[in-house]
Amino acid sequence: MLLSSSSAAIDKTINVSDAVNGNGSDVEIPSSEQLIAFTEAAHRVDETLSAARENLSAAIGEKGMIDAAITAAVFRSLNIAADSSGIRIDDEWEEIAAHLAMETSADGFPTVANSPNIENRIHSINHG
Amino acid sequence: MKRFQSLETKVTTEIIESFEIVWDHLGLPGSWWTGEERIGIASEVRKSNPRKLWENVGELKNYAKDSEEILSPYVKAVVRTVANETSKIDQQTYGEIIESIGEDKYAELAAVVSQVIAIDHLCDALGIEREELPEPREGDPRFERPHGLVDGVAFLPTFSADDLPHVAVSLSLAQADNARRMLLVRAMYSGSSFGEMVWEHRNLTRPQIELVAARTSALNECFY
Repeated sequence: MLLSSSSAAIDKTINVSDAVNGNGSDVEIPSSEQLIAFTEAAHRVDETLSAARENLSAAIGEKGMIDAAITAAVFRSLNIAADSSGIRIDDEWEEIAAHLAMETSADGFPTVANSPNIENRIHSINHG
Repeated sequence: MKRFQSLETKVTTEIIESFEIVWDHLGLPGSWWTGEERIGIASEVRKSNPRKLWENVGELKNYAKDSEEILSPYVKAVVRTVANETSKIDQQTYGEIIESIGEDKYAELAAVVSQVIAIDHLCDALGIEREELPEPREGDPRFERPHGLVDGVAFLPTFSADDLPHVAVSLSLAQADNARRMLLVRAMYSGSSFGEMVWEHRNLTRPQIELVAARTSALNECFY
């Protein structure tokens, strides 16, 4: 949910759907394709990880690659805390969360059920 | 060899210190698990990561709840579910787990998993060997439960979120471990400037960081 707001703060309108589901070519964030390839490989920890690491380092430098690794690691941890505890979306994020969920197909994630208000808002948007 | 030495030239001192604090407490008796059991939880996280595509925990009810070992097959299965299949934990699954081990033990288990994952995932992503787990220390759990918990934020009772995002209090039933978990979050993500949209304390811009965050959350099917 922070992706749209932080990009808006620097006057960029980004393609959130590509950021979440695509290869990053339409996101319009510098080195987005290498960032997404690295994030995917770090999630799998497979034979593509070494090359993804090198490609990202070549694009944005080793420090940037390390920063991406730190972010992926802490967000996996945050995802675990969020979904193991069953927290619902914060009240002030409900409106943007409903729109982003529809834009990115995240409304298909099973954990959307933890936020009944979002499901209601999506229903309202879809049915006027 | 000094702990986390292989990370010293790569990450900030604040991150290293937060990892050391987590490691200092990982093998100590917690609120509801012994030190040996907490290290057992951490070991199970490691054994199941990285997760193979064909590995699924399946129905928790199929696992034995009694065992001569430190952790029962059932608890190990809960650990693997929390670590790798978190999005499958709906209200019904949560209810079944709580009926078996109770919400206090579950909250501490999840908080331990989230701390170990943050550190191991970073090492894996950078191609660095994982830090050896600390030795467990003897002693009984403290059997303590914080006061002032509320319902309505999560399946679990939590502290009131007030001005904090819900994720900050998500595992606050395990108060000490939740505090250490949030120490990691502060060191690895937000620093002192969570509310600032344009960051200057990181090597990536904030949109680049949020891009990685959004994709990670999508891979984990985390709606939050």
